[in-house]
Amino acid sequence: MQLKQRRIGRRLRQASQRVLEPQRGCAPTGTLAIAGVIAAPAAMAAAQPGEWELNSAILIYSETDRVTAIEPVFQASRYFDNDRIFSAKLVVDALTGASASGAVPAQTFQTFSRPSGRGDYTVAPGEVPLDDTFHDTRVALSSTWSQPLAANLSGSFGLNVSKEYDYLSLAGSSVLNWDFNKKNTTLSLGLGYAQDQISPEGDIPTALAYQSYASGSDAAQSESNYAAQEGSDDAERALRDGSDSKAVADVLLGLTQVLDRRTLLQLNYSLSLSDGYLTDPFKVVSLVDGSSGAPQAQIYEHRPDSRIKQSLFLRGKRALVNDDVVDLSYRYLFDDWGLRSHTVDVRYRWGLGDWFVQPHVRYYQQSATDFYQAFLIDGQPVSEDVSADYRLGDMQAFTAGVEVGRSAGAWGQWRVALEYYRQTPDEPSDKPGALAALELAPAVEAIMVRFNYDFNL
Amino acid sequence: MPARATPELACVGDLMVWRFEAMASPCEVLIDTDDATEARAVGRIVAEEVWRIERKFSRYRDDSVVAALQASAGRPFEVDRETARLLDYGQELHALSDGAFDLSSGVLRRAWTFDGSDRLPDHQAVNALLPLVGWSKLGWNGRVIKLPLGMQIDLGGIGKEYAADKALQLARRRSSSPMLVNLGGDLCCSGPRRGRRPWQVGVDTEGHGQACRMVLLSSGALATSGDANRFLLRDGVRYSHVLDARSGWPVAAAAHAVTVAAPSCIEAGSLATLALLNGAAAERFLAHERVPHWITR
Repeated sequence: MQLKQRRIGRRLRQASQRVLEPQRGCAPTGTLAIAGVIAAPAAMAAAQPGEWELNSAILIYSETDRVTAIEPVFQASRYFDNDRIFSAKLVVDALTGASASGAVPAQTFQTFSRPSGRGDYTVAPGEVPLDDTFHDTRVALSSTWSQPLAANLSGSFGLNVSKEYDYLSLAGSSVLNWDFNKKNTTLSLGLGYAQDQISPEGDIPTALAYQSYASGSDAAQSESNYAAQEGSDDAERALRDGSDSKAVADVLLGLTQVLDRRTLLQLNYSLSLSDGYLTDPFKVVSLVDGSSGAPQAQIYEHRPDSRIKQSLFLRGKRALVNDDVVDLSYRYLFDDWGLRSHTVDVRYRWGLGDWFVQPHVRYYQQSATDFYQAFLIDGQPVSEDVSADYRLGDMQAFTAGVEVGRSAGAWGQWRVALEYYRQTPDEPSDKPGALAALELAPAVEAIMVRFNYDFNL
Repeated sequence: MPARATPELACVGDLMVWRFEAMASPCEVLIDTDDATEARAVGRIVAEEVWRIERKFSRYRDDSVVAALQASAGRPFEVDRETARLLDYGQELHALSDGAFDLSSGVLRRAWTFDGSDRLPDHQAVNALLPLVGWSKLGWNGRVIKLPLGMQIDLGGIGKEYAADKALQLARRRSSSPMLVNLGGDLCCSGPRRGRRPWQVGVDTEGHGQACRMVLLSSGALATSGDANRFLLRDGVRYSHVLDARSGWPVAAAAHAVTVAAPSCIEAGSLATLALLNGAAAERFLAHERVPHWITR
């Protein structure tokens, strides 16, 4: 009696990896990502003591006509005896392009001061004012040490430094994981603290102060009107502070439950307290005429000095009989600024031998903060906190993408993701006069490409 | 529990060796270190783990999972995760061998005794057992097994290799010194020795119980399946102890012994077993799988 002659090596390799897998749910993917602590990547055999595990990635994010970001990431983890792991990570973020300043479009040409106060830019009628001055490079360095603390208790401790041209952030964090119920249940407690300092070029603008601004029927006229205006904010500029700071404390409570051999449930509650300068120094709010809708002036925005953000996150992950993995999650976020958001995320990891294909869909819906105003009516009283940053307004966002990867043997494993992202802010209602004919908050579209490569040394 | 000789640490050349007995075989752990305390700790971890697996899956003990399964007498029986993973593995081997490998084929031993004699069972005796053999006759959903009355599960075919891998896995969490776990010839190592030197392993590729070939192993595992002293000889035909679960009879023209190298011991052992089940086509099968192998006819 003869057996069929066919190569069975790959299936046998996978079967033997499964049978030798340390006790974990959803073994085929092996990633139990408890917020902030990302376990070793997918199908790759975990590094052993004395070995290095290297993860590298490059992310390219490009919004149509707006921001483009290139972000290389490099992480090295060294494994020691007794499940102790040291890891260091470097992230570089290079941003170029333009972002919405918060000002409304107009039927005329508009000339704006650059955030630094040096120079100006002119926007054509009907165009959403985009401030194109920013190009920034962020470099972030973080390190984490993880180790068992007692029989069923493990901890990880991290430090993080992030530096931009005008920004410095120092942070520390720790996560404790307690396994019980035969390691089927994990309780996590995470604590984090960050101290950030911002020193924008042109210094910290005074809240709600007027910014030099002019408009005109053509570009030349707008610019000459602006030249006459320029320096109208000199007195305010002289009063500015060079920098300001904020502190952020985070608490995370997590519960991960293995329901059965193939199903995992995760529930997280997180609380984030921010205190200090939470305003965006580069954002402004237009004052428009109550009847014509024409912008009259610009003032700097101001946000509250504290924020209490809470979120609930629920995730279910299930490996199907054919080892495909379904990953569903939902997040509800709410804060004392009045913002509420819902995120639903669905992924399906489809195994094709050494390859996998993972389609991904996400829907995000957000309601505005209490102090969001797309514009202010000139002459009306202005409240203490106001922002026209569309990211604080009502909006929906949709992401669809697919990731393809290969869990190759000796040469490590790689994966590539392509995602399309579309953000659709709600158009403000009751736009006066000419503003009614203009689109204040156009949809923002973006394409993201990410390439990951992981290997052991 | 049979009395065991107390394990002890020995020095062989520049290696520390911890010897113990398990699964009816002489076993050893070689640790490439100068630290006797560390070597002793590693040795104990390996021996304890191998004994644990032996106790848990032994078909000779009445407190094993296998015995409990037997006692379930046809009722649904929920198994622990480790057992579930092994059953899943057995199911996969069953599929990959088109049914020739079967965890439920142990009952055939009632008809077959491989003692080197010429006492073949009669066809009737074998046929009478066949209704009790066949993975497709039992219910398995990944968690709960329903084993029809009279059927048995025997994890002996994969247990030793599995134990070698698990014990090594566990020991590596204690120590990063290079080490090699050898359970009666089925062995796996953590990587090369100090100085990137390979392990020199004497392999019993003939199946006679003595090393007849030196293999250099820098990573992964070696496992041997063979019928050294377990066969029947009648009218010049050698009947291997490797039974094809579908017919209940020995595989025709099976190799005497097959040794395979693979990343894990369980994978190496499975490939060796499947090669034997392939009978005369063992060479072709392994060449096709492109794994290092040694076949003795």
